[in-house]
Amino acid sequence: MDEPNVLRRAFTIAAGCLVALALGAAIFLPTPDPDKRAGALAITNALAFDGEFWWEDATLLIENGRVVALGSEVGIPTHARTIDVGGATILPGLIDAHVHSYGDALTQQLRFGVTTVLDMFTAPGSLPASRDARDSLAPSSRADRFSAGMLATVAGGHGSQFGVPIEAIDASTDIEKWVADRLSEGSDYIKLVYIPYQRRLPSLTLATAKTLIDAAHDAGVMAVAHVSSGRGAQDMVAAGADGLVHIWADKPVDDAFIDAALAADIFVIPTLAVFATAERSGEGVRLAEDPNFEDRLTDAQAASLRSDFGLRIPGMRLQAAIDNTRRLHDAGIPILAGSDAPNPGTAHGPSLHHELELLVRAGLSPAEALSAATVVPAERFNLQGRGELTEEARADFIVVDGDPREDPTATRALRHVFKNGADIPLD
Amino acid sequence: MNVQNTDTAAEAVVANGLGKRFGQKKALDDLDLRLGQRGITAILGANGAGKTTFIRCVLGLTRHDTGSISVFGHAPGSAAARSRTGVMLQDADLPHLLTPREHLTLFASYYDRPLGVDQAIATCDLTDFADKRYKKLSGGQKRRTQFALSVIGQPSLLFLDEPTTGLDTDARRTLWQTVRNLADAGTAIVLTTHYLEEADALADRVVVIRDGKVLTDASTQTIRETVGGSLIRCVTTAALNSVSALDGVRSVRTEGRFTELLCHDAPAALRALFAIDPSPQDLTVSKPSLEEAIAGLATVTP
Amino acid sequence: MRWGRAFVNEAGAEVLKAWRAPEFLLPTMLMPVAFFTLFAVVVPGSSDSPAYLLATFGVFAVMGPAIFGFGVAVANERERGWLDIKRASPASGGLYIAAKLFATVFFGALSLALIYGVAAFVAGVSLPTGTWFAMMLVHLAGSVPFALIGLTLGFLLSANGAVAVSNIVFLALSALGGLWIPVFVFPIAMQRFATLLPSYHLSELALAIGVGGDRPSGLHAGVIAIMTAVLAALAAFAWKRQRG
Repeated sequence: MDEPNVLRRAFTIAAGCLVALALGAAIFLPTPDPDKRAGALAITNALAFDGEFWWEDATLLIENGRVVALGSEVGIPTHARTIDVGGATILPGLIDAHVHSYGDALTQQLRFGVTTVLDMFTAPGSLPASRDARDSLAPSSRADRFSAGMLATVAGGHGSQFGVPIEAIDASTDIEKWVADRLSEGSDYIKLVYIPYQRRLPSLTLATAKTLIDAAHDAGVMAVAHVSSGRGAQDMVAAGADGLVHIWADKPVDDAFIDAALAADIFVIPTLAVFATAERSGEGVRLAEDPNFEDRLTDAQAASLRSDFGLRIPGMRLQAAIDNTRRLHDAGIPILAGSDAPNPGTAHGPSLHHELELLVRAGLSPAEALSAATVVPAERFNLQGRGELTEEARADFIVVDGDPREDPTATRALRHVFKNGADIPLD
Repeated sequence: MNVQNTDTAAEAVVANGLGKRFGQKKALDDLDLRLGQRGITAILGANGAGKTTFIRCVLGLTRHDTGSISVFGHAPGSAAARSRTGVMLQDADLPHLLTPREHLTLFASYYDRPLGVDQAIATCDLTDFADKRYKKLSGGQKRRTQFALSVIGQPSLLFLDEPTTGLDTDARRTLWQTVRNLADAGTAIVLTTHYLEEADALADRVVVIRDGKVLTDASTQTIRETVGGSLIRCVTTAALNSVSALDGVRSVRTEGRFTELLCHDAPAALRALFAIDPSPQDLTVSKPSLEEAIAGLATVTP
Repeated sequence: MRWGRAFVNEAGAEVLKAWRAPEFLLPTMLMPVAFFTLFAVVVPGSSDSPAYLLATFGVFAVMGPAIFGFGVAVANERERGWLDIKRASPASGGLYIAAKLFATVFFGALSLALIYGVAAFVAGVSLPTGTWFAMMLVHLAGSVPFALIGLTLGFLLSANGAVAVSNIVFLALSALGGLWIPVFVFPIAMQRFATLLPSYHLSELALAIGVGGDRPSGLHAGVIAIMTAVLAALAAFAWKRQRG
């Protein structure tokens, strides 16, 4: 076998390539930075909100993407890295309870401290991937997302104007199957549009809306409703909806509604930021010029914040919306913070901070507003390990300057955003 | 391999009562044939006579329905049988993108005591094109490469199915010489061919297969002496016995309403035929094909 | 016959044959990485998770060399009589298949290397070393069931038929198995159908390793093992049938 053997050489080269590829893979393929994820990290010298209590001189200890402990007497293991934040405030990663996410929405939300969003209508194709992403503790540059997926509306009704394909509902629709199709697409809950008391757009009937809500409950998921009037809201409470995703401004909330809402244990996501835009209040522009945000906004975010609907929308007076929100809050009805980004005058990320300020104007204390953007939506939407910083919760949190118990705009001074235990670059 | 000692006594091929059907058609019909350890045997027969089926059964490529075959005492297609067999098939093509040298290197690796690749290239006269891709070779060069593959393992039994089809005269003679050398060195060789000349030049023994049976099995010498002459075909009223006794007629058979006379002296036979039947109809005189000539042997009394 | 030596030569021959036909090799190797780059990098905002696409397109990448390398090549070599010469020689069918599998794994690995490279250095996928290798192992092992499918086609079909059917099978396994678009998006009936395809279970297994989530990896691995056994039986049946 001293003759030149091309076959053996071909085999040797191929086998060598396989070995080289395996070695190359072992050496060069990037692995998550252990400092960022796996290693223990202690944030010390902080004011910290764990979702229930505020801790002074607190230490937050995280490891492997999860919270190990938070408190004033947390022991720091020797192998842990330590960051002394010098009295800054640790808050659970914020939850925006009303967004419509596509494009780079989740990236922008995270850059502004929102670690989880509740999407209220988007194209369903991207849902499975975001389910996988949110179950993972791998480093991520995007906020996690729960979503209604496709919304329930009628042909030509609200929601059909955005160009996202919709399976519109009519009298012949098999509602149970419609709901099952949403769940198999990856929807986490059902959102329906119920706006019968106006003449501009067609709407689901009360009977169909009730069938949808029942079907969702039978399938084991929540049903939330888009309403635009007091009567609509009253109908949805009676029909058994779990929550209303907008406040209304057509008439003041009355005692009858409050009694019904309390009895039904319903929650409301007022989305006051959109009412501010509808009134052409100029608040979006002011937000875009906030020194904490101005340099960090993308061109698209800045443009969105500076836009409006092109007119004042008569039925959407901001003060009326704020007053109604105050009545609900005073009566003990849970309020959740949601921005409805990216509507005109809003942007993914900054607008949740705006909503916190608006909620404080509606009578929530700054600390209550923070709960409305953390622990309350987590409880209401059953988001395990989110909106709180207790043992085994996800290490999703933000560090801000100042004391947001006193100043609702303090959350805008972001110093760190941690997602899955990793420090996200803020530039 | 240890089994070789026990193999040495076994005949190269023993086929008994071999039968094979393809649907309604009997390809082999109770065929008996034994091939010894030495010598060159030519298998002749028309297309469809069964010679290719017979070879495929011996190689284990096709399973026979009835009867038995052994190759050096082993089942056809068994590892022991294959390790001692070389084969050059008629309709087989090699992968186009390898060179003859690469093909030979690969095949050499299958055997325990192969020829050296360079030696095989020299012996089979592949030197000029040993490093060209198979795709680019001429038809004759391809056949020579296939022949080299069949002998690289130094087999004890070599099957050559129409080995010289497509070869020019020189190449044919070179191949014949190589085959003779192998036979002299003790390889049993089985050859199928259309060329009587090739059988004549190479074979010690000729086996004619027709309709799946062995029609004739004789030494080349016998064939050479008996084949030749002319074929007279006519419709005659004369009795078969009287016709076969005519001058110049070697054998007679009937084919439908025709009578066929195989003759070594056609003019004499024609004269004699006209003497007993003045008006035979549809009479033609022709040169018999190889098949007809050899088929004629069947009626020759041994 | 010395098995090691014969395998080295046979496998070398298979690699050379494929290498010398770049017109067939390059498309099957480059298409997966082109698609992956398109979906994971080029189309903006289209991907929430390049790791997700890496898991599914990795299956896509090994499928081409396996189905075409076996389906089309075996049909061709059988039709040309090359397989008969091999079967009459001391080389065994097992040697032939093992050598072809080596070449398939080799070219599948090259195709994977391109995708893993783009995923790691362009799309920014970053995984623990053990996870990289586990995913790679699933992808490479995925060659086996697809090679068996190719082998069955190669034994049963003519060379031209094998080209046509291999293409159809390849595209169907890719599209219906959820390698391009997640199975979740499909209507229920198609989702049920996907569970009959090895491509679906392999991609789910790769996803369980690379992405995590609520995926029963043991179940998928078990289904793949059963499917591989069935496909092996099918290939053996096809082999017997073409022998006549």
